[in-house]
Amino acid sequence: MNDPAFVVSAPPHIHSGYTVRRLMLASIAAMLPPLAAGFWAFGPDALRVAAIAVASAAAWDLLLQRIFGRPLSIADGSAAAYGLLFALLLPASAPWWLVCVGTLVLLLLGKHVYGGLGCNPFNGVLIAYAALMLSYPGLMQDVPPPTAEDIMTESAPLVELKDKGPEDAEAAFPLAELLVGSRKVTGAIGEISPLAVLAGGIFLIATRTIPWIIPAAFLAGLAALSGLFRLLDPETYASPLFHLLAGGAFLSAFLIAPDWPTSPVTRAGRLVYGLLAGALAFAIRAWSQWPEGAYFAVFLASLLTPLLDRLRPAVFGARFTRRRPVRHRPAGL
Amino acid sequence: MGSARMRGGVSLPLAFEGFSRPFEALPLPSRLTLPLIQDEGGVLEPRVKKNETVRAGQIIAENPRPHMAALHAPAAGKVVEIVSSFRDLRGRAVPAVVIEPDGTPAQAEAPAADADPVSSAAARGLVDFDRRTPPLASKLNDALGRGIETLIVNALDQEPFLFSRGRLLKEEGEAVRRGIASLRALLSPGKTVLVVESRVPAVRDAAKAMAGEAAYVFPLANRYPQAAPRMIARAVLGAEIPYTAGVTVADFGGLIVDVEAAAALGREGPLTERFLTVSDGRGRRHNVRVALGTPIGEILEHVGIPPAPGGKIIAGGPMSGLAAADPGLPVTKETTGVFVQGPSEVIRPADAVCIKCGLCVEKCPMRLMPFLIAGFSEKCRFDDAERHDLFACIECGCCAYLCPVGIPLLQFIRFGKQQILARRNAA
Repeated sequence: MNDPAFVVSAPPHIHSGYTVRRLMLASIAAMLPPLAAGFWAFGPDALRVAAIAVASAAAWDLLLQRIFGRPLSIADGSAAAYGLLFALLLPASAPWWLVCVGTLVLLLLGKHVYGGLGCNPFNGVLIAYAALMLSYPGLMQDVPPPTAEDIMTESAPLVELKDKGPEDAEAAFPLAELLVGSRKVTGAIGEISPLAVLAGGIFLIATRTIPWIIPAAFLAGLAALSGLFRLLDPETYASPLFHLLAGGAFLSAFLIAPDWPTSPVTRAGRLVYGLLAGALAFAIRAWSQWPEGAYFAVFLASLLTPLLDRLRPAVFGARFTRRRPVRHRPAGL
Repeated sequence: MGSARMRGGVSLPLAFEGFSRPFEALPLPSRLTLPLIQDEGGVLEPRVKKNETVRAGQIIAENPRPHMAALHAPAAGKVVEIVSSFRDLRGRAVPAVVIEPDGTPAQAEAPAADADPVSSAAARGLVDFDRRTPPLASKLNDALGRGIETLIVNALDQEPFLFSRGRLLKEEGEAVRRGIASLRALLSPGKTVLVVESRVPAVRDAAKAMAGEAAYVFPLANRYPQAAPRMIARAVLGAEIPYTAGVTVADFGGLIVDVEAAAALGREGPLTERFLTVSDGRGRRHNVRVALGTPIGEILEHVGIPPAPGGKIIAGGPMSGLAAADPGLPVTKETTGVFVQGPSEVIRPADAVCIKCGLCVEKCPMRLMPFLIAGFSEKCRFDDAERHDLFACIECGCCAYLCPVGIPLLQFIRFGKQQILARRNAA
């Protein structure tokens, strides 16, 4: 009776077709608008950094998979996606060796020492960013002036805010220019145009690649805390809109904070995570020596992810277990 | 009814034209194989001997316990064999009766008029066609004992790609109506609700025409697994039934009976056939009316979907059905449909790590943490799995369907449950 010609396996027998590769390709697609904005502001240098980052990330990934004896999974696109994301945090002037050191840290400390993608407790991009910020603060923060002739300032908006206070910074950088991106505003490659990041972010949410709640909570947390302090002391603190549009707030909210392995999985956990990261971003910007705190804020919030994963919804029917079941009339009849 | 709609689950393509396919009656095969097991009643005792001639509708096996379901000969013929250990779909070794039909037409038998409805349901072998198939008699007996307020007749198909229940409303409306009437006469519920697919107007209209004054027609968009009893109860009764042992829909004043069981109750005589959808998930779909004991392979040949070697034959739907190793396995009371896949459509689970994307958590209709309980089960940390409500899982399979990594989450969860129960039984 036994015909071995047919496959037997556990249900379900169909799959959505939604794969890690598709998640990664969607992320890469979402990073193209900010990369294009970077190219527009800094010229071919932006593409040079991105190309080196992607190529070196792929090379390190292959090498490390060999060393650690893991199956080669370069085709899933994760090395390319994380490499490209890392490039968006770098200045367009970053020398090639700096990019390669960064991607090595990314793949080694952010992926392979922990056992591969999904096992990493921290976002590799942020580990690499933190490592380079501490090791080469000059190279990392010495952003090139944009290519335009009529530059008004040579420093990034948040550096200007730290150095000269909110009044001068807000006067030097009109909100519209911060939002759309302008050749008068400088920063890391991906920080140039929050609008471009937003376009990518909306694409990610629409394709269900990331949950909407993390970016929304991040921006809400940043806006709420900066708004509160602006109300208390407008002399010292910049407006919430300035905080949202300057630097890497959008980049953190849409592309970094929703990183799957390092962000919480439940709705409540994601909400708290986003709010916390947004609030921390303001705190670091306002009260630490670093002008830009958004990336560190996401890093810090992700330390709490295992804890935030405990904010779980009540299991179906759990509300009824403690009291005697009651008889309900049919609803709406 | 916005609040009552199920949260989570997956939307799968609905083949509307499937509802317009009439049931084709399948010719009797040369041999009918009837495993002597009732899903929620245990092994049945044979009432026939080898070489005995049986009438169509004659009882061939029974359960000695009360309120169970008997098994009848689907056709007149000769008992050619009583196999002592037949491997059924779930891999259990059970006795089975093999009948060779001889072509004698079925003769109408006088129904036992004096029997009460509950024992008559048992004698006629009626079951409720849910994922599990409890004997209808035991459900009715339980409902009679407690008294029920709402009778829910479920005409939502259990899975995407299946539509026999919707079609049944249209084609067997009279039997369904009589079945509902006798359920109402027996249980005298305050309300009777007929749950139907809301997105197919033809089904809704058929339901309204059929139900008349007897039942409220309750349209629900069938997002899988909306047809699961807990999800139906949530929508209709507004109550979430916990998974705590012993708590059932009856505790909330309800009784859920599916429409095929109601139709079987409304028809006269024993239950010897099923109404099934046969589909390949791509466009070929057929509704068939088939005698119990018919080999699945013969149905597939008849409708022209021959199973390809290296492919999969699934008894049930694609989300929760069981794969059959052998096309010779027969249709039983537990078969909800037939789904066929070609070799290229067979999915292969990945041996890879969860990336914590959270999709399974987002879409779990029971609001569990599937990746966590599956992970604990995989690593044999059964206490941890149970602490995270492993047993609340209704095994709908949405988690594994969605998982981007391709982790067989449901398989791990089922493994965990099985191991825990086995250990408990051993202790």
